Amino acid sequence: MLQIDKIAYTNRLTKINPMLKFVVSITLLFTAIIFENILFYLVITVGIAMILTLYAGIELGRYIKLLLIPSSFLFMSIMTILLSISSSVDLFIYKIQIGNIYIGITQTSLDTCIILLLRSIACLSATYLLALTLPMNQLIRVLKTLKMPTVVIEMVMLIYRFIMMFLEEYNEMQTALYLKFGYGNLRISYRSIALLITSLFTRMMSRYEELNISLEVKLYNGDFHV
Amino acid sequence: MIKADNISYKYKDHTLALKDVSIDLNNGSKIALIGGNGAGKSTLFLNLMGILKPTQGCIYFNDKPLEYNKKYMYNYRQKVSMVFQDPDKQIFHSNVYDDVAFALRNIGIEEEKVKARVDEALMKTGAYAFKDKAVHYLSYGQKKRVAIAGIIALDSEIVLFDEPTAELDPAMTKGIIDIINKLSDEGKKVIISSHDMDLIYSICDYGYILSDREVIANGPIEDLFSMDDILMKANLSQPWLMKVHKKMGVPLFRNEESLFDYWSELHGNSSNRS
Repeated sequence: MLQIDKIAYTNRLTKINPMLKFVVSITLLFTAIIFENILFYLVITVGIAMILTLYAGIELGRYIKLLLIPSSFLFMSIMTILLSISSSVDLFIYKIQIGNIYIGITQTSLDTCIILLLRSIACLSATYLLALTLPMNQLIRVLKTLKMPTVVIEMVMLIYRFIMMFLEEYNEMQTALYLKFGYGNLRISYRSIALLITSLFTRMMSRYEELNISLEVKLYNGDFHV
Repeated sequence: MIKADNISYKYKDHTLALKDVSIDLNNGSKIALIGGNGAGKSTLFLNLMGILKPTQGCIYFNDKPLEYNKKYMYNYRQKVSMVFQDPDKQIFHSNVYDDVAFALRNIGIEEEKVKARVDEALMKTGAYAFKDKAVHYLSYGQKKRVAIAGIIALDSEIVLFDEPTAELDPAMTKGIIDIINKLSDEGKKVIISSHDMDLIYSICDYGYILSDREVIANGPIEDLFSMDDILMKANLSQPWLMKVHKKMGVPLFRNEESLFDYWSELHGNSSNRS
């Protein structure tokens, strides 16, 4: 989460026109969703990987790790499509028999899976092209130029700021718990996590109240100007 | 100007936070509000800002009592503003520039003027160099500069600083002192709450000592800091220049430079070890 944010602010493509980055990523994303062409998916995936590693200067290993984050979800959904259950034997190209039913892979499910897998990776790459080169502050400006409703932009902005504050608070408390041996064994760990959650909640509530006060001082009257 | 007349404040759970506090901000141009932890400094500030309403007594602004309605406060808070101790509590945008512009856009100033005022405020606070950075990658001291810039941009007549130098390194502390002095030179009234005695002594001209929710002494800074027993009672201590004056028989100076000048004149350069 934070790592993506950090990369977005520090890579070599950060300073390029935000609108350009936005349009390119979104176009690639939607073409990958609409068109079904394996070669096209491969071109997008490899192309973006090259842009991000060679031009933006993100280490290849780091990028691959980021790509692997959603892999478990991907794997699970692919498996459910790949495997089919049937009582007739002739459709399967590979199968195992359990009682009088067969579990296995058919040619069509294999084809669908390959397309689905490559499409997912291509879409993921396009999303990363957006997330890794376009910092949130630039994205907000793009949304503004595109005349998005103010409510949406406000929410994006405030949620982003609060996530950062939340993570900061969480990290500090986590460290404090470690230093006080809060993760010594499983039982203590559970209790520590409960403590962490309750105090995170109360702290966030008091933070919220304090922010309300400073909103008043800053003459807030219902609209966030972005 | 602001005047608080015998105000008391009770929280909803009936704990008393202020007891018969009277202060008059006409008494000086850089006014100190000093007191130990929990003396009531922050509560008093929130009362002065109109966030909390005194349960007894009254606060006057330009000789008229404060009105606690939206319209009045909207005008009042353009003239009186406050810098919080924790900058994170005052920063809403993740972008420095937008955050400094926040209050200005709230009061509907045109974008061109906003830009000029934001740039000026960023220059004054030395935050211009990182104006395009994301707030969460700034250091604590840098965030503090941004928070102050957001208030300076408002160009209000009176600025309240709650613990302006708490948790800052010496260089940043000096930076904040410079900013406060600059504001004062522009003719703005500055009110500073702190328990950093050396800081208060070097910049303020008048002060109020709060102890256990009450004002126990007030007066010009030099007089205030010579009352050792009162300072002790308020969990405070004398600034070091005052201690040197009292215990070592050196004349009283307002800043260390003049003390050192005096000393080298007296003893020649032989005392210079640097």
